Amino acid sequence: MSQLRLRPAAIVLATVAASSWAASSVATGDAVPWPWGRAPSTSELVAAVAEADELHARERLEAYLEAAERGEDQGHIQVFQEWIDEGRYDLDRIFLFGDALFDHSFRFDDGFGGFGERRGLSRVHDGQRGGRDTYSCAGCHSRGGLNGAGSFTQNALLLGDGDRASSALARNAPHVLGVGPVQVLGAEMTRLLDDLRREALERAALEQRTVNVELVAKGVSFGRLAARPDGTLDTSEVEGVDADLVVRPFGWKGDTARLRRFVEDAARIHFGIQSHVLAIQHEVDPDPANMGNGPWYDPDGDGVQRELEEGLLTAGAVYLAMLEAPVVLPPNDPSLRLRWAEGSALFDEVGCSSCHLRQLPMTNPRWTELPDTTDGPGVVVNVRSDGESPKTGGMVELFSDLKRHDMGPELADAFEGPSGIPAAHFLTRPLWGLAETAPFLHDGRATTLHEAIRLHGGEAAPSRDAYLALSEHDQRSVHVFLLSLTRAPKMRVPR
Amino acid sequence: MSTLGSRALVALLPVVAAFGACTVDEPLRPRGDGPAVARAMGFFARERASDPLVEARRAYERDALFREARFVDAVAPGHLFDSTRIDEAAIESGSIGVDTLWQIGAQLFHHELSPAEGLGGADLPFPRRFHSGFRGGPDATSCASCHWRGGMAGAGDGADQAYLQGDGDRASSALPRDPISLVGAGYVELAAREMSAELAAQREALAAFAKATGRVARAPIRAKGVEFGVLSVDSEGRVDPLELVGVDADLVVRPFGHKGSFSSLRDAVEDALLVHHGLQTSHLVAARPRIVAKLGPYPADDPDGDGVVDEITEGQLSALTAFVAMTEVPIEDVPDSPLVSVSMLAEGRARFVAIGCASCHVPTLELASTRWALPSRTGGAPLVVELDREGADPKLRPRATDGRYALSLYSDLKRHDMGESLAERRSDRGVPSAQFVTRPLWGLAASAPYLHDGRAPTIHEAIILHDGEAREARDAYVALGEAGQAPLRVFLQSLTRAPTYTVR
Repeated sequence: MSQLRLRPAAIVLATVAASSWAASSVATGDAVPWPWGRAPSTSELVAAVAEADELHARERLEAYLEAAERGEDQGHIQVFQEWIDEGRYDLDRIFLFGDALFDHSFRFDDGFGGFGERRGLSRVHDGQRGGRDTYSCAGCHSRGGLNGAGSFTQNALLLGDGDRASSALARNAPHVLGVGPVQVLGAEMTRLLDDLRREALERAALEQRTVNVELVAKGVSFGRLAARPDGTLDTSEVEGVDADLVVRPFGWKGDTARLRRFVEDAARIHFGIQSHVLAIQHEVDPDPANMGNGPWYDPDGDGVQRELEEGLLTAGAVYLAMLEAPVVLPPNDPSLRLRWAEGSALFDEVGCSSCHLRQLPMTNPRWTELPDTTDGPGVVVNVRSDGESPKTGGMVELFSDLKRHDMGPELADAFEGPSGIPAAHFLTRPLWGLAETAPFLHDGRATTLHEAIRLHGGEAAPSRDAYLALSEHDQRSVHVFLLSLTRAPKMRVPR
Repeated sequence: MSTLGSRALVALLPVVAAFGACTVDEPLRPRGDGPAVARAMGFFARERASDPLVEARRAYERDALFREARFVDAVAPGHLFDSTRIDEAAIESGSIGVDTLWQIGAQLFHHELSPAEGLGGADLPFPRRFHSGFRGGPDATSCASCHWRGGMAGAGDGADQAYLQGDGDRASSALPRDPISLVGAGYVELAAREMSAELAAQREALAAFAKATGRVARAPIRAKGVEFGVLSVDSEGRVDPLELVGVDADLVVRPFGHKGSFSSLRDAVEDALLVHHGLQTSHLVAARPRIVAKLGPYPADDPDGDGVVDEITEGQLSALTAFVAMTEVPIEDVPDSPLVSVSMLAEGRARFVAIGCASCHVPTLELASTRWALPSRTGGAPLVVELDREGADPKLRPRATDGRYALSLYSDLKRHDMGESLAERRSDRGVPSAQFVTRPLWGLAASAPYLHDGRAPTIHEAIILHDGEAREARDAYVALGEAGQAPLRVFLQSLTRAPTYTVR
């Protein structure tokens, strides 16, 4: 229901607040352990109050408008790709569409669910079609603030039989902060790998011999590739990425490269809301397993066509790319600060940071969100400066290598999904924002950091063992460090 | 701006002084080293300042205190949980201030539990999404995990539904229940108690009459204007429940749970701890005979066999119950826009009565007292809280004219048959499958989705899905048409919670 969450005035105020607050390291002698060492100033408080009040007032107004005219809020998520292509909306307006989408409570009139599904929720997914988990994105991304993570009850139960929890793959909702830079990093890594592949193929053709190449992108090794003179590839030694060498940084398994596909898939499997882009694809290349048996214009047969406009995929992707990034906020107390520093060193020493790579360099923060079916120019977002603050720098401190790893049998899924990604393989979960995302791991089984680390296996077994070999004191220092991976304090009126 | 600023600073001085005591003086406190250190940590506020800047600063301050305490908990595990291990004797002695008690309850409500603190059991480890009989999940790591929408102690999202009394695996075996907003629960308990007392008095009168005449005495009974059918009492004092309506044979009004399962807030809280977290109170563990189906098969002091004893002390349960009881009362606001007029809201309110919604969603119950008492289960003094003075803001204030209270609950606290379409797959703890307690509508706007299983994402859908006894009112709503329905929804949208600031 939140419209105009981010008004131009509010952006300026919030940016000033965060940066000046962040820049200060002067302790005031005040007994409160303020993040960044000092209390918010009066002007920062004034700005925070104005922003929170404004947002609350608008949410209330919208709720009233919807009450007075049923379906009024559907207007907030009516955006056509053609209009975006024409340049009808600026970035802030597109952000608002995305924000409205994130908060929109889908109902049966919107196409919620599929044929014959007119009542209530269905938490265990029925195969690839998904389930009816809840009515809004915000419903499961509620922890630790807006766009946060999900609790255990909010787990999605994927690819099941529609009834038994044991038949499904449990997935805990991660927070969606900082995904703009992550998308850029994934795309840049993909391009680097693509360059390596192309060079290898060219050399193989030129030199008429098999050329082996080490696949390294941004310092992350993805194994080796062999290019043969006949133009074919041997990908048997490629590691942590699909054979097509596309880095897919989204989803616990790392199966999605672009935010618009992430939005589209989430809407489809959690709400039964099918994008018009998917419907068009379904017409050309029928996909009843994912889409249903209805006519092409309404694949799920619920009588609602164009359930999610392409423009909304764009808006959703742009919105997500503009969200704030997590921050690191160490403790205040000097003895705790010492533990934090020790923990940080130990994090590297035991080898956590070999996969939870502290940072990845972003070359070009300008992202172009291209449409699927039109020849529009795309929407350009600078993920280092556009939208909410705080933002990342050029070094993105996400604590992940964006690579898939074998996590061992204990963490492995019960079965392999249709993506073909092995059951035990998961993408290194970015740890930024970690402190606000309990419970941990892909299915939320770990309630504590210790448990989350202890349950690491497979490729992570040596680091896990090194961690377990630490003294209790040292293990706890690691926890202190991990708890500093958080999000900036941001005031709001609860909704 | 400068005026605002100086006002804020002056007002803040006492706040800073008060919070000084709550900061990290001893960061390294190993667990089990001496008695537990129950204390208010300053993470949650019971009272609100009228100056928004003061409120804002306090919100940031609470967040800062929590963040630092979380680090302390990392180096001294148990720091946060132990801060809630309050002693029942201390509560009953009256030495714990009401704010301390409330804060400790709030800390427990928001605490993220771990297996080391008793979460789950040896045979039912965390997590389990669909409940296993009366043992429950465990399906949640904190109360706040499912009671968050609209603010502290709020409602749950559709995804947060509990699936009660299932086989532990199949959704279809369980009863899905949407987490109810808990705000104002203390006032609700008081209203129900007063109603139960009224009904008991009528039973006593009938029993006395029957005894005197030697014949069955029979009369309609009501409490706070709500009719509960006809009560028959014979000369031996035996009650014939057949003609009672919407209340159990013992005439105890049970307002808690969608089905009206609990009259006592403490019992409801105790059961929630058990089924959602596998946290067993010392009281339940000590009860004889032990109910294995609820507690688990293991012997001695640890029926769930997880190696944690005294998972929740009587004092913790008292604090948690007191916190929930002391939560705010919801408010009714007005639209602030030329597009939605206040007269439309007024029209909707009138229509709410006219088409019959108000016959069950009774707008106001008269409350004689807001003195909330938690009787001791250990033979001591009750814990007493004056909600109108000591409850969280906003509080229910007495009417100036007669000192009584108008509780704008929008419920008769009575069970009704909601028809086949809303009926569950089976009865629950003796309550027939189609019967539900009239859900209080206060705070409605901040508690979507609606109905017992969250099947209605909007107010409109919630209304049209009413059936059974509510069918006539539902049909009347449908007959109004879009233009006639709108004011009614505007009115319902005005039932919300007072805005507050939070940083998490």
